[in-house]
Amino acid sequence: MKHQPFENWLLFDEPLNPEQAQALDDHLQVCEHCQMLQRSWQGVASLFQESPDPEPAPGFAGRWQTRLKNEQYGVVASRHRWQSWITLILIANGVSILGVLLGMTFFNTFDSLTELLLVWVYRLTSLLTVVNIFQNLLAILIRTIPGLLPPSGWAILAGIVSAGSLMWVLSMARLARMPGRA
Amino acid sequence: MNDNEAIWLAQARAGDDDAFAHIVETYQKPVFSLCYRMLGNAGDAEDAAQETFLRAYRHLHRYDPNRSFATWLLSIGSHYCIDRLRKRRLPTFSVDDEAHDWWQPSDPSPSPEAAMVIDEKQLRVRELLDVLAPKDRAAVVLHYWYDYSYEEIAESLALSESAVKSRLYRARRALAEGWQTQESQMETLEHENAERTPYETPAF
Repeated sequence: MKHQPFENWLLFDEPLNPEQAQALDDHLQVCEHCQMLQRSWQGVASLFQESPDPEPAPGFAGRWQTRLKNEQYGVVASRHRWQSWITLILIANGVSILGVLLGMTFFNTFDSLTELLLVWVYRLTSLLTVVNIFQNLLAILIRTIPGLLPPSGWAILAGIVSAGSLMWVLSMARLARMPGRA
Repeated sequence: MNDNEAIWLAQARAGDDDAFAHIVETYQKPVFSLCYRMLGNAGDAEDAAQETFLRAYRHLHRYDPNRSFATWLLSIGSHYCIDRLRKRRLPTFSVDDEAHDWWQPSDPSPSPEAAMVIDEKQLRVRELLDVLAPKDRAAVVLHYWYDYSYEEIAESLALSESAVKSRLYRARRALAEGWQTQESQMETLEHENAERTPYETPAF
């Protein structure tokens, strides 16, 4: 037995004209297959109508706000992480370029590695000579300054410096306790 | 959309999270319900509904106020659930979800029999919908639970109207066949129970 167009009419869920409706009724009287199809679809449709609408557990909007805040925090943290990485990469690039440039300058200035080493030894010797001169100057100052003031003068000077330091510490502590300052 | 919703949407567009929370409060039931019908369990539905609102919030500047906000929102939810269903390699089914944690009945104390009947119907609906392809399932849910016209479904799922009609036709056939299978399984089970009962009752 042919089931078309009756199956289509049953399942397309569109209005039929009177002739089609009559033909479908006549077919359903004799066709068990199409009867079954009609009954099954009607069963599904009524089950859909009877099935209750599920609802979320209470506090859904609150949970959404928490999720939004977490997401926003995650986005900000991720942006900061990226910014830190980019800064680090830029610094590393800068240092590398500087190193390459310095290296090129050195190799252009000096013809050989021996010459370069001699220059560095000369610079180190000069630096040590300068340090030695400063050391001698300091020794002369330590020997002459105590004779400039009598012992009581030194005591008064030490007292003034101590009092000034104490006042500075106290004023800093008071400033730190003022409202509006962390 | 009522006046309050229009105001909340305008405020949300200006960056007011609390205003959008009112929108979430208003549309939580239809969005959750859609996600539940699509995904089949309360845990996934909660997650998908939350994600739907987050996506709507993030893309609020794309919403055209001349269109229905509900249609736009449910369209986001449908697409998200379709993607999730496609990513599922195997069908999942949790026994824990059988408890009606999602169901907030109007009568706060339904009888155990009534709750069982509801659970049974819900399970049958889920089993029937599980046989459908994700987009067919979305079309069925929007048509039968949200009374969407073919045109609205086409707009929501980015399909042509004729594609919607043919998907619904295919889905109805699959659902009717699924129903027949369920009925025959139930008949077999009843038959087996009827045969077993005389041998099991003497102890009682």
